[in-house]
Amino acid sequence: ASSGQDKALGATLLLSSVALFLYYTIWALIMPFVDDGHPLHEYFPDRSYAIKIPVVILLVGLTVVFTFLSLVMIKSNSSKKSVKKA
Amino acid sequence: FCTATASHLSKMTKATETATFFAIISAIYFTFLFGIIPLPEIVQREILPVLPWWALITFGSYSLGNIGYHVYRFRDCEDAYHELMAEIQLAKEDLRSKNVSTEDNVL
Repeated sequence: ASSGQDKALGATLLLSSVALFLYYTIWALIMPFVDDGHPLHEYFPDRSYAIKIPVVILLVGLTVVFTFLSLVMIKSNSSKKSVKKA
Repeated sequence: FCTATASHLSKMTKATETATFFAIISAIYFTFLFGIIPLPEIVQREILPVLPWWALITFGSYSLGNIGYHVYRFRDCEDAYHELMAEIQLAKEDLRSKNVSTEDNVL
């Protein structure tokens, strides 16, 4: 059977992804229909962030992916050159 | 709904099919976004601009949740592990003999 640590990691990942989905769905799609005085609004930041935060995440994610790709390509190029020279 | 693909009827690759799907969804979305087909005021102003980002977040949570679920349910198989490690060793020696680099660190 998979180790306890594995199970804990998997369960944490699963539950936090569900929580993230529910929070964001309520924030982005449901809150516009909730009247302005309702106490529920206290749990959610300003809705402009519902767009700003995914944009930042997407940009950071793409930057990481392309940086990793470039580093791998540069490394394989330089090791190819050193193999050819040798 | 994964069985309802166009590929087996027309000669479409999965990539073409995915691209077509996104093209159709984008066309519908932009039709509403640019007001070509009107929608209620709140929906138009508050919901529509947020939808692509909601789709991105939903896709991200689904991916993470899927991984988490399978990590949670994975059953260790001791024998398969040893067999796999032995196979990796064989493959590495084989490649090394044919002069292919078997370095571990990519970065």
